[in-house]
Amino acid sequence: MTRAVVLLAALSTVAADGASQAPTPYRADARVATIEHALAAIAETPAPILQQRVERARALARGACSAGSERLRVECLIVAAQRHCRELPAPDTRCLVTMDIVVSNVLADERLIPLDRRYAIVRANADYRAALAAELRRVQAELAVDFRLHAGRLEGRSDLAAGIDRYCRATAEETRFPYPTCVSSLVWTIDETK
Amino acid sequence: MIGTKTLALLLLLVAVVAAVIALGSFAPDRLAVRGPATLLVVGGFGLVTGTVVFRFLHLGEQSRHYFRWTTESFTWDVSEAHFVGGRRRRVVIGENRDGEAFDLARSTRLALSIAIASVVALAAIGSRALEQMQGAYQGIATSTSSLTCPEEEAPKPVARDPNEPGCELIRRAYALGYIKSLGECAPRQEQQTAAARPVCTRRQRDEPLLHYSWRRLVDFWGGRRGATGLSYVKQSSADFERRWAHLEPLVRSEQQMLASAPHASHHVWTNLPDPGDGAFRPAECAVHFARLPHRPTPPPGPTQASQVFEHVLGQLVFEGTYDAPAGNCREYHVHWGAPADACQRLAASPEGFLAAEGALDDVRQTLTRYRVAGDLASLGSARPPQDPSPFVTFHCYVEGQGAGRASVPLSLDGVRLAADELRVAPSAPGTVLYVDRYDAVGRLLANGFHYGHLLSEAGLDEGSAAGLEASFAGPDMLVTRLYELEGIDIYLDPGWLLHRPDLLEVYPYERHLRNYVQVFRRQYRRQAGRL
Repeated sequence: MTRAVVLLAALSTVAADGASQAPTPYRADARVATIEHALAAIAETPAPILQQRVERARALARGACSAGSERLRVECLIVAAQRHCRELPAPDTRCLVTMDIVVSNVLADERLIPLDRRYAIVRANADYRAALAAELRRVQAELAVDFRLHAGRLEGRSDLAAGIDRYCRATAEETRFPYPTCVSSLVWTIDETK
Repeated sequence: MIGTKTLALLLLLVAVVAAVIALGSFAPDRLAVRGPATLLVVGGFGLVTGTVVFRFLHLGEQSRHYFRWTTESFTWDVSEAHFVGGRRRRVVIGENRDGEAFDLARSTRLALSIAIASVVALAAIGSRALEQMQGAYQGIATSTSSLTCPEEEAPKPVARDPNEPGCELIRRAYALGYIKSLGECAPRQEQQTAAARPVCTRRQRDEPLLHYSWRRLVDFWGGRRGATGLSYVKQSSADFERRWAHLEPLVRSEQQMLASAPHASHHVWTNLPDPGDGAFRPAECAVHFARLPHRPTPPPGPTQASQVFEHVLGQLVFEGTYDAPAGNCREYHVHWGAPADACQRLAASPEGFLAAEGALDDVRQTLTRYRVAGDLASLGSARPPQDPSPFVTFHCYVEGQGAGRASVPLSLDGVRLAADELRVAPSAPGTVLYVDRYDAVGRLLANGFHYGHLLSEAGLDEGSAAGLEASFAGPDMLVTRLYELEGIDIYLDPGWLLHRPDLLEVYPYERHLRNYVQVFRRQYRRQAGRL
């Protein structure tokens, strides 16, 4: 009887430990680390490769992953990005991190340019793709400037990552951009303009 | 013995210089920003104005009177009179018949007069004033200014883009007979009907300045005559009589405005203890509720439930982040620590209960404002609704035994009102989201409030959210995965997200909480408001 009680207590302790150690990749410190890795990966990846990945992600979003359900679309893009990185001729450890930002940016497009604004641009410009790209860069640049004004002087990549995390969580109401949209736009724009 | 004109000039100069120094007009930085043009205008103004004043006030002539300081004893002298001072030391004023009083030389007095006018001009005219004067003159004098009538432009031909996006298919469908109209892709009319343009009363491009000035003067005089004619007097008289007949409500309305009387009176009784933060103090509540965290995170303790209730009430009604506030927090009164049967007591004896709670005056002021607004409706003011109950509401929020909503009718000063009570079970220990409190407060304030799948931003994706938990355990693509949270509305069912505090930190509240608050306020505004 005593043995059984001891065994039960040990099992419940293990179970409790297991529950408390459930993966929480979105804790504050983990989020900052993710952003820091993304900043580094984007900075270290050559521009032509980044451009190739952007085109790949856009093609997937418009083609194979153009589902009506947002969840299906996101899941499809994640699986396709993982597959793309797995099938690279030369292994690239930064591939998944850069693809994360690139795919997030593709999904962010329609959040950064609202539908009514998108229609207005398409109707007003014969070469609407270029106009949409210009508008996207304008909104992203505006977000980056606002971030710089809010965050002040940040020393080093880890400070910058912490600043981006803080800013994107705090200003979602004003900018109306979800956290991932804000993070990927800032990581992309700030690194690009260095 | 000094002449009055000399004394007046000297005193005026001293006063003007002292005032200008006190106002900082002689400060080096302010003098530096005045350009040479300003100084030229100042000099010109001083010269002209000083000379005019010197000439028309006869400052060049000898003073008729003089002032004299004396300590002599009083004597009977018809040419002198006591001006100021006591019996022994005084100033006397006398007639300067023989010109024996001291007066500055004529040229010196002229110089003083010009100097005073220049100093006043220097204090009053800055570079900006000069620019505005120049701008005003140029605006009137030049033919291309905004004060002149615009030239009529010939209508431009409408450019048509044969490759307008989306139109090719529509044109094809129209040609094949699948649709009956081209809609926005139809060829645009070259000649659009010119809208009737109003008569331009500004200066015509070829109109001489003098003619324009005369026209403006005639217009002004015509306007004055219109405001002094018989019909205007009759109308004014009728208006006065009408307002005179409503003098009492008008006076009351003014009094209410001056006293900042409440436009509404909303009272909530709750058995929860006072959180002690004074959030509903009239002077501070607007600041307190201007911006709240996404979700209440009160520390455990005896006032935890009160803080949650206060947060939820503030977020649903007052916070301006998501939508225009649905009420003014100064007109909401939360009565903490009320008995659980507060609404029954209120319904049983409205006047006594409200007086005991210190709410009677507030409620009566609102009802008086309602009546005054009704009286003034015949004078052109907005007529209030038939029923005053949206402006005076009574709610009871009880956490404890039992559950459900009940409404008890009551009557106060002949006005039929109601006291609505909602009973809910206390939150379970360790709760992190308090979604059920949002629902409870929403149902308490807005009778019939409901938030369902059809109102949610998550739409039909919500149904498949249950399987998402596994997706958020993945080690990669962490940013992209967060888009999937947009399909989970925690205000419908938080589900497994309750156990993921890390995800709650990056949850898209700006999407779902905003929607929840907007849906609530749409329903709440139909039932409560302010005069």
